[in-house]
Amino acid sequence: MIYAVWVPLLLPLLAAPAARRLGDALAPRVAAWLLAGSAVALAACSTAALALLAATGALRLPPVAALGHLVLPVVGDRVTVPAACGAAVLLACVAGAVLRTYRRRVVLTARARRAAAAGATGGDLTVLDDDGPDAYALPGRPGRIVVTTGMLRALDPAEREVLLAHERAHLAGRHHHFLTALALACACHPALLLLRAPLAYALERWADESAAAAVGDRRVAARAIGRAALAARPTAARPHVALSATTGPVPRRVAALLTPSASRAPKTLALTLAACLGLSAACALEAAHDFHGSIEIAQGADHR
Amino acid sequence: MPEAHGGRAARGARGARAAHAPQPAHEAREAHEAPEAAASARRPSGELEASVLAALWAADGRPLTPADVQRDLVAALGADLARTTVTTILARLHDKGAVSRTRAGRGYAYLPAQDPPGLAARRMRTELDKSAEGQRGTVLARFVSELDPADERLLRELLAQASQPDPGPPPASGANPAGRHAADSAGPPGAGGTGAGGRGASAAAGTGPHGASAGAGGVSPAAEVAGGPGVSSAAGASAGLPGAAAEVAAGPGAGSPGAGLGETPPAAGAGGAPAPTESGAWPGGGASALGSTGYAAGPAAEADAAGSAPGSDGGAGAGIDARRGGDLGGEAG
Repeated sequence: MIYAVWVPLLLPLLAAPAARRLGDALAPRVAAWLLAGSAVALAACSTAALALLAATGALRLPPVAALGHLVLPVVGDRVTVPAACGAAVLLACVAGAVLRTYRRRVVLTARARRAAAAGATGGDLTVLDDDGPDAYALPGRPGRIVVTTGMLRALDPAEREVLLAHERAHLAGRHHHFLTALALACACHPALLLLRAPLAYALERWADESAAAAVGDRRVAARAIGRAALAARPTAARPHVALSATTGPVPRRVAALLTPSASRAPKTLALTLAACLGLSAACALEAAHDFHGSIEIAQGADHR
Repeated sequence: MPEAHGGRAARGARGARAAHAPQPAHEAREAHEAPEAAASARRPSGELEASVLAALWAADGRPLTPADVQRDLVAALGADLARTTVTTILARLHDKGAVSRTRAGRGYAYLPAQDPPGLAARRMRTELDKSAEGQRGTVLARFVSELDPADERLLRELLAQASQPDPGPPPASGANPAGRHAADSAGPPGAGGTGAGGRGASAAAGTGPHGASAGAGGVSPAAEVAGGPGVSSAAGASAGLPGAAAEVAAGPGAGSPGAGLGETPPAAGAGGAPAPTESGAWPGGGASALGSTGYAAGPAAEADAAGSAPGSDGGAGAGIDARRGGDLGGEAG
């Protein structure tokens, strides 16, 4: 337990960069599943490790021990008191962050739904009479596509179809579940924040590809995205930020539509990520097994 | 502005159409009796309804007849969509209260039903944006995220490449409606305004002179850009993004002149569109379009001239080159 329990807490630091780079190389749909899945798995393992650490510490408290009919001190327990206390604090933080994240999403979705209620509806589209160009998919049953008039006017008819097909792909693919899963995972382990932008990008690419297939013309799809982005950029002068070395998501999406390239995942990255996930899960299981074992021993000692 | 332009374009189109396809009387009634057309069988009716509603809102306060909507949708979907289907959908939207209609000739013209000018919607959206604490993007998948200046420049270059002609034949779905739009907007003088018209013009230019001699077409703008901010300096870069180029600078009204200006040079090569007239007529919009795209025009053309095959399908490598060229060009300018 002494080593195994720490591994799931540290592995996301290695696995998240590997997953991010792997996601870059994969097709959008696969990348989205990989990123969200890895994040959830890593978060689950690290949270389990925290819980095990805290629980082991809790066993030293007489009331808890009495509850479990344990003999103090628990045999085979090598977790120090400060570590257990730290784990307990972190676990509380995680629980708070998860709750906060979840509540914020519920509130935000409700707010978006109220905003959409003010619009005009036809089919699965809700139009908001607003000059600011904006468009998003509003999850729900049924999901809705919310677009402002400013966005509709910025696009020509074919580009509008791209926009609608893109948002429909978000709704049909239940992409908001991916985003929610990752947000909750990030609440569990901050290293996973590294995966947020790649997942958002993969989901947009996924919807872009669906839209391009729906309208049957990748160039039109690329143009729609580009024009929408140019129309949506803020008019007010922005504080002059240093030009970033990396390209933002929108030009990358446009370029990807214009020049489709075969995705080839680097084997080493895939192996690294798989090893990280496997190790993380194995260590969490090992720690759990250890914990279970020490309780059994303690209980056995009690019954003797 | 856009209303006036669009109106003229639409009237011209309608006039042209009337010769061979007179508008059916009592369309709404006919539609209820008519069988649903093939297009609606292929697409769920909810999707068509959404497209129709989008077309009505995009018309910017101008009432659309079923013929107008049909033309928009055929251009967008590349599918044959029966007028009766469109009329049915419009009638359905009217029943729901999503659109209002007025008599226009023997049929109806439709307007999106708007409550006192969208105040509720705007307030709600502002609340949504503000309250989200920057978290909105992680909850609601947004169509486009924000651009920083470097992204914007790169994006313009990419779109400029995209608007350059394919070596091969143009995609079947785009060719036909584009041609129709070009014909439509050529009817009334000076009506190259609406997004639809602009698109038609750019597609027509693409299949015209550039298709024949891609190399020459790719290089010549570069010379012009180097020479100075001529009218055609905007041509290479902004052909793909006409409306957006000027819209932010001077409001939606200026979008159309920007579009006309940006696309006239290739069109002039093709068949003598009134380029000087347009630039003269819209000095403000023209200047802003030039101002915002001149930057991008230089590097894009430069990269083409420097690259191995101007006018060839821009690859990822070309994109990078163009971007690097963009940085250089930006510094030079």
